[in-house]
Amino acid sequence: MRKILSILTTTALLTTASIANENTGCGLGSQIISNQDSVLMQIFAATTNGTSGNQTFGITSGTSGCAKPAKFVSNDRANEFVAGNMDALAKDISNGQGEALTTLATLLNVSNKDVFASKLQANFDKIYTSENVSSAEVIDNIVSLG
Amino acid sequence: MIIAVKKAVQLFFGLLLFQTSLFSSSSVSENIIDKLSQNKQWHRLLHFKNGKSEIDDKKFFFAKNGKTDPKAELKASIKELILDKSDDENSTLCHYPSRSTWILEQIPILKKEIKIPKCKALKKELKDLGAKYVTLILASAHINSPASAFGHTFLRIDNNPNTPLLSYAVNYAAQTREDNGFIYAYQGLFGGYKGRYSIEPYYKKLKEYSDLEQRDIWEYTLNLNQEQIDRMVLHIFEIRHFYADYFFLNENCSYNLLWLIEIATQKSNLVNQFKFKAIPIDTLRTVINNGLVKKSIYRSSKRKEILAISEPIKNNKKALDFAQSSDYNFSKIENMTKEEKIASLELATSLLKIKYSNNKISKKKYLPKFLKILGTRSKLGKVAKREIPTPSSPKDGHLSSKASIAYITDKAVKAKAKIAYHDIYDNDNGFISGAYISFFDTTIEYKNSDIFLEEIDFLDIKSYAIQDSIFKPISWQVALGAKRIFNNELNSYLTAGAGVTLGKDNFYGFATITPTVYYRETTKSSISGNIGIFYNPSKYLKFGISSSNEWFENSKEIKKIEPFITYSFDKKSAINIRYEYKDIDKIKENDTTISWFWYF
Repeated sequence: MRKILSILTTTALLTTASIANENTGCGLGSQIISNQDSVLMQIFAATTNGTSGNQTFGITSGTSGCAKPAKFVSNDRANEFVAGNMDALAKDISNGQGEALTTLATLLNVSNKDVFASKLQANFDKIYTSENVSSAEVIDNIVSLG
Repeated sequence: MIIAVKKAVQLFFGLLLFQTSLFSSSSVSENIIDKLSQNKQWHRLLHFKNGKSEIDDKKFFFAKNGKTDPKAELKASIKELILDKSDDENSTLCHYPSRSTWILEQIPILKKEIKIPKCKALKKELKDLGAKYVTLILASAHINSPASAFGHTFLRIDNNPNTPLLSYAVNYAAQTREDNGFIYAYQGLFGGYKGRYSIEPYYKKLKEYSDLEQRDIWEYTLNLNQEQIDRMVLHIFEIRHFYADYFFLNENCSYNLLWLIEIATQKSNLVNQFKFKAIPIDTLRTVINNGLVKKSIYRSSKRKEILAISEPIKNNKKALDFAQSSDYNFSKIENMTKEEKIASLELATSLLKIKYSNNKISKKKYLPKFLKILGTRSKLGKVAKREIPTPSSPKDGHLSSKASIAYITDKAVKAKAKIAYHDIYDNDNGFISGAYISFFDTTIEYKNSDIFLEEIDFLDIKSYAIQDSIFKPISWQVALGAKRIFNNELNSYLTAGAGVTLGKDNFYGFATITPTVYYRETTKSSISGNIGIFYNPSKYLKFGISSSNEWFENSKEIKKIEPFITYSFDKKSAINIRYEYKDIDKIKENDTTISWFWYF
């Protein structure tokens, strides 16, 4: 009985929770992936409010290595934003609204954001042509819609 | 031979230093240096507090005793500025832009004596950042993790307030890859890690806190003008090169942001208000109380967004099954209304993303499914944006430390105090409901003219995470401490268990099973079944009733029933009345306790 209880107590402490890790890239599916970690670690991490990980000090997002779109070369900020937010943007375009979509519209100096959103939504398949579509192609496809 | 050369070189540089010190003292009088070295802003720039700088990186100081002597450091910094004729990024001015700018502002005549480098990289970074606004961000509790209730704070530097996704986050954190909780806690408590400031796109932080950890985000735009913002940014660009030992309790993430805000304003007194602990939510309150916040914006967690999306189908089993399936058979939702279809598809996308984030599905399997659902969704047009109600603000919750005095009907008096934070008897306004955590909760009892330690809880966490139609979190609890049990003797104990919670935010019930190990000379163990209901109708009132049955290995048994009511007057005080019925091996006891809670 005692043993079982001790084991139960310890197991409860070591049940898994998660911490963040990043899977970067220039295409779809680049996002933070969580690692499994013990509740114990998580309790300490959160109560002591420490953040783990190596120091980053970058005004760039780490996506500046991605290919540049052919038709819209001048706007680095837009390229980088799309590369860093591929999945969120795809979701917003499919829904016809959302913060990532509004931000892109601002970056592209679009005056009528509602019309822009509807146009992109109606042409989702033309923008996200395949699962391997790159951020540069997404921008090119959006700009091609005119 | 080599030693002789070294000596000669040292002598040469010694002479050089001697000369420049003469040089600098000719243009900058000892008087000015003396006066400036006592300037509060100079102390802020050095993170100087209680007789020394909190920066532990030796490279931060030019003077050997710079950590403890602001005057020596000022002198050495001026000397270094004059001496350094380099024109690259590592020149004194480009590398230490914050103190250099301040010194040159205070002693303008120096500008003629030093070579001003171009600092091309620094200028480009400043331009890309384009700082026009600074926002203090609070990531509140992570669902099912009461420990995160203390929150995490960081700053956001904005160029355009309408596109926060393009802003940058400035974060102070301990640098570690440790995954052993005990080592992590020990090192963290005693300054074993190096703390550094970092900067990265805000959308990355959102992915981490809002998407992955399901935390609500509160954004507080600071009341700073351009000059103050520039000063803060320059300091960030200097301090980023150096580390300070990270102490989880006080010199932590949120405390270190206060330095940045103080340096910006040049006058507020924020840092000194925190001595041995700095809880993020308290640092936020201090910033607000100093009139430094212009407005606040609430950004809901992904979890709340998902619940809002699924509102039209929350009772539609077919739709929920579709969204939670792995093959997404579209024929199953074909005959539904457009609204239901949209809800099903959007919910499906969100859940799929969570699955992918949690590593439950490979990228290869995720991508085609993701695009297929989005493509189908895109054919259905728009729906009105779903409003998510703003919950009570974390700043409006009771203060985080608590002391209480209680009178018990069997003529005992209890005094209780704890460092932090929120327990079952406290009103949940401003807190995540069901998330309870107490730190170093000590109870002293006075009874029959005797005074003794009744209980000490080092850590007591209860996570009553409410299950809903989409998310089914497991409730859990952990407690470690010492309490009086078995012939009223003090036993150390460890409890850890799990269960289920159902209901809604202000009215819910739980059931948990908790095994416990006690130790005093020998170990004893027990297993306990617990149930309870909490009702929190307003920021003034909270009711609760709980019952437990604890079975010991020697077949002894303790039964308990405890109803309570708490009336909170404000953030600082509350009154609590509790009745307790105990049955210890058929010996029945009952008493009523009246407590006064004082939060501070």
